[in-house]
Amino acid sequence: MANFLEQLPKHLQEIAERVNVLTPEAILTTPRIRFMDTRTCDLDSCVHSCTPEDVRILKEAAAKWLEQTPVSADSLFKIPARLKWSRVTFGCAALDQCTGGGVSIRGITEICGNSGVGKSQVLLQLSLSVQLPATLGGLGKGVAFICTEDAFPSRRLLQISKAFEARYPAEKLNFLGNIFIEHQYESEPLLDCISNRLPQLLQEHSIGLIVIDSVAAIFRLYTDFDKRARDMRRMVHALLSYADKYDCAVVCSNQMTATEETGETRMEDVPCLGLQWANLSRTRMRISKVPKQYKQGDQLLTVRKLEIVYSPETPNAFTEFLITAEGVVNVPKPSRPTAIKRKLI
Amino acid sequence: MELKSAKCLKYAKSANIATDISGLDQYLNGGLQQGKVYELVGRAGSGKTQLCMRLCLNIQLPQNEYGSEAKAIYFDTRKDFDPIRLKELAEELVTRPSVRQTSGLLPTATEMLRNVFYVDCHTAAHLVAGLLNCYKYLAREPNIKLIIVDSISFAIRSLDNILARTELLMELHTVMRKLQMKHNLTFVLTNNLAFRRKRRRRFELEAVLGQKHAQIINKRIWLMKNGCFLGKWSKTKRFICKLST
Repeated sequence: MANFLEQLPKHLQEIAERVNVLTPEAILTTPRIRFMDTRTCDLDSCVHSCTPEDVRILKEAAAKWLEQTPVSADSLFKIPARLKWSRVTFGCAALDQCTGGGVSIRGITEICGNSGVGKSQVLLQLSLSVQLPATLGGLGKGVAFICTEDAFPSRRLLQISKAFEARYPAEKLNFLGNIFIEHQYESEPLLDCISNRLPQLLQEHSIGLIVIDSVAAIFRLYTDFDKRARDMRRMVHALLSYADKYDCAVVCSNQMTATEETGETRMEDVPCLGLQWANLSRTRMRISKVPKQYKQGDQLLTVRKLEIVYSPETPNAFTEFLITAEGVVNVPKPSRPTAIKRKLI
Repeated sequence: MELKSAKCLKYAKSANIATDISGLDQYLNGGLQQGKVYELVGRAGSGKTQLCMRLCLNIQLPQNEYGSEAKAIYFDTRKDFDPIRLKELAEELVTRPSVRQTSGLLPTATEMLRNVFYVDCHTAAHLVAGLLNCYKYLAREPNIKLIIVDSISFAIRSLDNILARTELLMELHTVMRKLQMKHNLTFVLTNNLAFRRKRRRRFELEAVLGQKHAQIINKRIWLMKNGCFLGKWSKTKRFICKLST
């Protein structure tokens, strides 16, 4: 931000350049002591030392540069701000109703569940529905899909996309052409990809959804918990900054682990990665299997349940859905058996 | 600065902000007091953001309903704020029978929303800029009596260097203290829980951000599964009441 430094008086510019802190963001987050540090030069040569008053003026100038007027909550309902709170539909009416319209663009949404319960299916369906135009509930943008376990299920994606094309024939979207897939199986390359290659992709194509399937596979292998916490935080901050800049949703999927809660004697299933991850995600949804089955054709399908564990907007609702060849669909209502007429004898 | 006797401070009534948790309000004799820094701690999903939004609305209630007819600023670092939910809370508050009876002019939900100001902070630097610019916002709207920072731990922990974090936190506290002294504001911060290693290799649930910070804030309110607690540390917290929802 060359303009910012140029408008300051000369001695403040020198102070900032001496410590090599050049952007207003860095000026605000560097502690005061770094500006006033006199250890780097000899006492005699510290002719123009930095006073606390100078640092205060410098920080206030930086604050003024980054100033944002507070908007009243009322005006957040008007159009330019309102787009920040839009949602991506799931493509299934029951899920949309339960989650208040779909996945929110703000913050990270986490979908947790045991293995084989259908998280990847829901993510695949989301990556198709985000490409729908805004009138149908999507964003009209592409998807960046990062796979960390197993190969990407491309054949299943093709199957669901055919069902989508049949549902929305008027749109004529090339569903498969807007999904960018990346396989990363280890944490260092993944962090490198997120910090360097993802912003490039976001700049070149319009992306509306970033999916990481799954976060647990990467971070579960850590033994050093401090490093794990730091890396998780770094990843989340990077993702949130992109989400904010390019208006895209971020969805991560998580696995479950059994743990003994202090004070209770039985083992309970909780999502992996503990409190650190729970503090970073904004919405958490849990998918589980329900001991109910539904007969379609000649197949018995197990009913799945989506439950909102916590979210700032919606109450803790839950709903049921099925996974069929067409993707994620509502559980059809059971048809009433025709009344059997009894003859009164 | 004049010297006031403790006796005249005892009889000075300060406006409190109701928290809608009945046991807590009873304990605090009406709610959160003016001129103090409170901290809300709890697990993810325990209701800290909901309580913050509730406080933004409660402060607009008239004096005898435990409000101050004042406005609020909300600094959001985690994008937890949702205007639709705030509108729902406002509509529910307006239809509450006690509010309709005592207030002279009935505030509508949109008017209540207009008195809540929102600052979206993407990074820690934006939060620092926002707090440093607060005196400007207060000059424009002198009736602001509540500032909410949600959540301060998310912004501070985005810096990697631990020394930089402590310094930045102390600088934020100096700024807040100056504002508090000058305008008699209430600050509500939101914090997270983490497991900290105690003696004999056991882990205990503690609030994040360290000891210095814990000694500067006035009160720490814990929102846990078992109920609502008040106290600075896990061992010294006192049980106040059970949380219904």
